[in-house]
Amino acid sequence: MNASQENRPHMTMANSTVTLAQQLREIVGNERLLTARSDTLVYECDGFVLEKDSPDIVVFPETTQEVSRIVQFCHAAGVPFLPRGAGTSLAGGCLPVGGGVMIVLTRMRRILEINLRDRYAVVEPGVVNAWLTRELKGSGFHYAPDPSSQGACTIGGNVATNSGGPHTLKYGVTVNHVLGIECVMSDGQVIQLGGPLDEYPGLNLTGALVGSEGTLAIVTKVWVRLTRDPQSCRTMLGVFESVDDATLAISEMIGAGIIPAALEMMDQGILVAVEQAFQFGFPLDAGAILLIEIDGLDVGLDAQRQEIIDICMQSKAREVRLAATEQERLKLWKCRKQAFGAIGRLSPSYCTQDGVVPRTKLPHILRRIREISQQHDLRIVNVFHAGDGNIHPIILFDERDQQQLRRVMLASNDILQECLDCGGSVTGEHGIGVEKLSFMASMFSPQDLEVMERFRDVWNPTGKLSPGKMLPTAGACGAEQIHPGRRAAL
Amino acid sequence: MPTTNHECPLPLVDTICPSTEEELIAVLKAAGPKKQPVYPLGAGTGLQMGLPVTREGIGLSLAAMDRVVEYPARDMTITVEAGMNFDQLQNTLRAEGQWLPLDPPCASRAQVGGIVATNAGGPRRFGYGTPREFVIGIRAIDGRGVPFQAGGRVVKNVAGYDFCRLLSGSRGTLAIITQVTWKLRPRPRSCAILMVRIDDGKRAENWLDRLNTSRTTPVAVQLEAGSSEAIGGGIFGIAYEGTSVEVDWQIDQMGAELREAGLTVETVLRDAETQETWSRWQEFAVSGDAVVRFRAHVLPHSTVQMLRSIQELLPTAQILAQAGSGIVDVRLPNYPSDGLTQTFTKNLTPLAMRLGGHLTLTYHATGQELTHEMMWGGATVPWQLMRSLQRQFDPNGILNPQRFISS
Repeated sequence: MNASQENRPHMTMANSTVTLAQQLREIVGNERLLTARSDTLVYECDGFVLEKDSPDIVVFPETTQEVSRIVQFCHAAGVPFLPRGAGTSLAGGCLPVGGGVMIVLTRMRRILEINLRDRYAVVEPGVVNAWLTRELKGSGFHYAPDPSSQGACTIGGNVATNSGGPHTLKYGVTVNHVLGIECVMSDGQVIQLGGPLDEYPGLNLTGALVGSEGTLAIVTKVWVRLTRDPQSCRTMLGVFESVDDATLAISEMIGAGIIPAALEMMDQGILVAVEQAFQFGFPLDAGAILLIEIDGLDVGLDAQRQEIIDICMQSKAREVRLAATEQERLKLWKCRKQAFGAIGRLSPSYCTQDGVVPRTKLPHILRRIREISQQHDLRIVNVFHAGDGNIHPIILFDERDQQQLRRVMLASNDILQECLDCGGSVTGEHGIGVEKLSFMASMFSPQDLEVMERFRDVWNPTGKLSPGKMLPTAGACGAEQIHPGRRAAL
Repeated sequence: MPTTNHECPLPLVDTICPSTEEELIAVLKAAGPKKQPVYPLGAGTGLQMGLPVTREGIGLSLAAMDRVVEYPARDMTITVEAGMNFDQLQNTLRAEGQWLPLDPPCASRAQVGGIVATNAGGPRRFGYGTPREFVIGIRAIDGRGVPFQAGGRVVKNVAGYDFCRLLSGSRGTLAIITQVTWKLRPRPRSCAILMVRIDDGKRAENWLDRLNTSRTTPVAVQLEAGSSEAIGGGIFGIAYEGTSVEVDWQIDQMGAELREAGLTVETVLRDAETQETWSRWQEFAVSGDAVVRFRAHVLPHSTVQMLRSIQELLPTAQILAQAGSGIVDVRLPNYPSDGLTQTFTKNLTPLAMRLGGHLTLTYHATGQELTHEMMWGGATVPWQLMRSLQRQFDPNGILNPQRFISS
């Protein structure tokens, strides 16, 4: 599984690595640098566990200046290097392909400024998403992107992957909320793109940097937009006999021009696990449930809620329950956001996919997922951002069974291919990372990819920053691959 | 046909109007080796902005590429060709109860490609943002004649670099946009604008601070500056959109919030009555007789301060501020007596910077004294990096050269 790792003599550090480690130690000191194999092993993968590779050196800078100096040394030494936040990426965005230096930004964790009047905040990249939310509580403003991993994931990581979250249906994804970025270029130069305003002269490089998965620069400071809290909200639970009925209701809602703040689906498979874990009182015999939240001015919400209930009932919902209290609402959201944690009750290992289809194609893709599940004799459960058409089929398996592992790969491929056939995407919020490299050539033409490469080359001319990510290297496109394998450094 | 009227500031030797991407590619491939500039024109509504051009070149009109490519209304997305007229696009969406909450100037003539290329917004940007927030897919041809696309046709998608963002506002310097996929919103059923007069600058400032935490959610907050006797003050317009119940509630609530602040509503415009005001706001920056137009963009809390300083320095200035967003649009009917360098480079641009923003010259009739720094001045912008990126997309330097990124 770890081919390049075997080829690389890890146990005894090469002289050049020792020298580099010494240089970096002068910047960060002994306590913020790791080189022992037993220590660096912790950083061999992120939330994507199918591929692993240890970095040679892990450093924990605390300032932009330190990042800049570290990068200068890495650049001079010609070694691969990459940034890492909390390591919650599900696509291998933090996999240190080819080893090298991992720059962990979790010690840059200060909220530098909150300016409610001008509706922005400035944070360091290691600030955990939920910390900002907590800091803003009661202020009347919030930071809108709320990925399910928000209790752990960092804003720097959110910027790198353009994270979504349940409430992005109405409020938009990370790119819609990032105003400016300070970053360290691949040669160590520090630049600022954008700032506290929503527009600056010149090209919009802030937007282009969001979602670039660490392949263009290392983010050291972020200006984020703050959004006014909605006055009120209504949270509902639609209970459906079948997945088909639930997806039809979603399609009808969007078609009727209703944009809820969030619209999430859980199927029976996941419901059982979530119920065991949190005892919410979900009906275990239901085929699927929809978690629907609308927000805005209180005065308009009851009418909208009725409209939603009517649509659900017309789509053969068994019932629509209302979250009567704030506690009940928070518990519902806890169930949704921690659903992944509950999966351990179903299976020793699981693999989450992240496809997107046009919203009207949801009934179709869910049916196809059932067929694919049967075809490969694998159990697949679903919990996802239905309103965006962003599916997260979770394939359950046992990592120890190599045969099963192969079928997991085939099933994943089939599902993502179907998303593309529906006119969708192979990733809505997790990113390409290393996991989906092989799909880039199906989604984009060689010309599209060439233009992207030319764009990347200006930022990252040696390719040593986050190598082997996001763009398939030349020549790899035609290769038939089942396992999304690692590419050599550029 | 595009407007190639006498006001066109570009030295065009010819105007080409391709009807397919293939024709457009051929134009670019022919122009590249000759290093002949190609100036994308759109509908000609935004050509005044940019540094003066000396190199003769071909004008490019996409007026013949104006189809709806795909409109799956129930997915709330639409894909259109770049030459499509913006009003026509909105009319198509209206039939399905949808819209793009964008209000660029000259919407009746402007084309989709031009609006994206200039990221042209209007007063509703306070509530909804600028065009780039709505672009989810894009097709374009770079300066080498290579067609490429990015994004897609689904509302959530993180595969590949976000060239939708990169090309929005790139002013035709990286590639010629040929197709745009938009994410759409339901069209609000009702609308209102409240007008409030606040003549005193300090009170205006305080009022804006309070408005920031209003219980209502305005989609636009405009300030039409009064005469120079009432420096810093003027008429505020606060706009709401939504269901009629929501709009009604907000009119009442805002009335109450104003009374609490010792202010009174002068006029409430409802639905069709708001039309004239919207278009006055929307067209302000491009209408009227002016020899110089500029936009100061500062932190929202400094809007009134910026406005006041402009009034003091330039008494004849006509000013409309998007006060919620910190944008102050100014028309000057005559040249400042101090000259442009003194007025902008020495005075107003540094002021805009001190107030957390920047200042851009959007029109200058003669182009005299104009420099890159004066035109786009103020913000810390990595122009060198942008030039390097531009060379990747347009190695021959033929796309809208001299005007924007290149010095």
